[in-house]
Amino acid sequence: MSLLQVQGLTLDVPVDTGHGRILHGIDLTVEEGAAVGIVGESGSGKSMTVRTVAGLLPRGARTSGTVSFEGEQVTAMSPSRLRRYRSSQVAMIFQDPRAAINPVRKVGDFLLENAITNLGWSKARAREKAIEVLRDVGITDPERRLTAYPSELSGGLLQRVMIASTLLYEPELLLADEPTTALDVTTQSTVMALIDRLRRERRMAMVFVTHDLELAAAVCDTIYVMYAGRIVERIPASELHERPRHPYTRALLDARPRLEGREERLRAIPGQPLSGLEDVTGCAFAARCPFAVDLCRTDEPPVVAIGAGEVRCHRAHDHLWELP
Amino acid sequence: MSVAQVAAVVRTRRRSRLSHLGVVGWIALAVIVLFVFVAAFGAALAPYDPDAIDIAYSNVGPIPGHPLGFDELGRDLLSRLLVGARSSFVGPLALVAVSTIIGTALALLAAWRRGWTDATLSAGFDIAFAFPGLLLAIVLATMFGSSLPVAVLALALAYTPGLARLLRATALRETGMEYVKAFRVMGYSDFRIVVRHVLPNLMPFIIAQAIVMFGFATIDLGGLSFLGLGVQPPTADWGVMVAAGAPALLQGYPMQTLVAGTCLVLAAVSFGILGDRLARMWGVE
Repeated sequence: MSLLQVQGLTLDVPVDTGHGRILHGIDLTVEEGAAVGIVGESGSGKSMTVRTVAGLLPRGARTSGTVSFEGEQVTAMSPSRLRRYRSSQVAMIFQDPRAAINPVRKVGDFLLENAITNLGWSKARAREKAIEVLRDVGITDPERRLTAYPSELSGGLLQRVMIASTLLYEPELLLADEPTTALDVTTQSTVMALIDRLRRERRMAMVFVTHDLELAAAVCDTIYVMYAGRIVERIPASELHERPRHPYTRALLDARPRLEGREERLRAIPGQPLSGLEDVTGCAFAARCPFAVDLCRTDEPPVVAIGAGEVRCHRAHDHLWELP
Repeated sequence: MSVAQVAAVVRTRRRSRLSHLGVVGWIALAVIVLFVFVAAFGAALAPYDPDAIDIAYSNVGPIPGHPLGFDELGRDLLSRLLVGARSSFVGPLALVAVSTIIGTALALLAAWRRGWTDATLSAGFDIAFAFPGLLLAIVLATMFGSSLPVAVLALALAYTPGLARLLRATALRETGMEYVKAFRVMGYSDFRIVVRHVLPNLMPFIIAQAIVMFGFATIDLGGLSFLGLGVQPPTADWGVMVAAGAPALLQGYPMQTLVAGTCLVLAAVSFGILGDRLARMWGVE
């Protein structure tokens, strides 16, 4: 049994005119100890997918399909079961640590409260362990940091504190929602390397949400590419660069800035990104796809298994990735 | 910036905090401290029995030994003023305490539950807010008789929705913060998040509001006592004293109304200024 299995997940959120669908049948599997990356443009539903896994639904949201954690339905958990699930089995690292940590409490209070409330530890033991995990995430002088306020720490240090808080109870699944986006570039790589190392050491599974394809490919085993609330491609990370099957994945890869050579402009994907809310007939990407044929605009593409991956594309068998 | 972020900044600058009060703020604080002191120890400070009547001295002005003179029944005005501070203070205190606690609880409930709970409570706030406190006081006084507790209850019903409405807006913003979501993902109970994290972060706002409210409460309760709906004679109370001195005004003896009224206004204005300064200092206007 997989650790996390999401099948046919749809999510409808309240909008001005009733409900709007922002996730259209997400299928996603995370095996124990594995790392899965979700990439896509802003508004493609990446964050909503992981938040649903954490049981953090927007008010008035409706879901269908299954989100099962070790065989148990997350969306059907009772409030007390949900609390236990969150406090011991799953942890989330947020994009902006400055927003995700109560700014008026000291770092030590933040870590200790978690350990004392959720794990029932004594204050002395919680403090000892807090110092230990702060050291694990590479914070020097952890005793002194315990008495610091979040505003006194840099974003990178604060994100380390956030990571440290998840290490207190070593959840089975780590949900990292763009954990390095709010950090400056030099800090990003060290924080990411830290998450990657700690996760492997402790055999935690991870769902990693990012814009950064390179980063996703580097730290994940499998990459899911999302577009307009749909998974358009699942591909082993090792094949992402060489053989992106979906035209969207390929366009994303082409749109990256390159280190070698000089280019006047980045190769942007033509057209507007589609939000999950919009009604689509056929393939959601058809309007922006250079390979689209008539069928793409009328029929929803099937899921086609190719090699170790899957792709939602009518032209999946046409070997588009081999075209120039 | 959220209340919490502001509070965080304030905390790290704790040392320079009180200097932000300004001269006027300090004066207001001094008046309040004096007021509280007199309210606590006024009875012991009073040179004479505040209820001792001597008609011979009716409306007699200041004479040696009696710096403020006498009221219409020949009671020592200074003694009555000192003793009256207590009921002029206890009433507003009870009023502010009740309104703040209930208002805060309702606001947090509305902001946390949202949905129909919020809609129902907010509609309730608006309806209750539209109902004048004075009218309510007259209705309740007719039903239960005139006394300080009834006046406090009536004004509490009038004050609570106003505070709750203000606080709900602030609490909505605070409960929408990312850290609240983060706590939920950590498996914290709703109660813990609201009471241990959201409420403390709203405290600067609540305290500033309560202090401003105290000023209004002093005037409003004094007003109700003046109308005979609050504290009842012969108990010494500033509002009652303003009323008792009113007939003598026409006869050219303004002393009683003047000193009691001045005390009331001074207290109310001081609380208003202090609350305002604190709010500005904490950045929670």
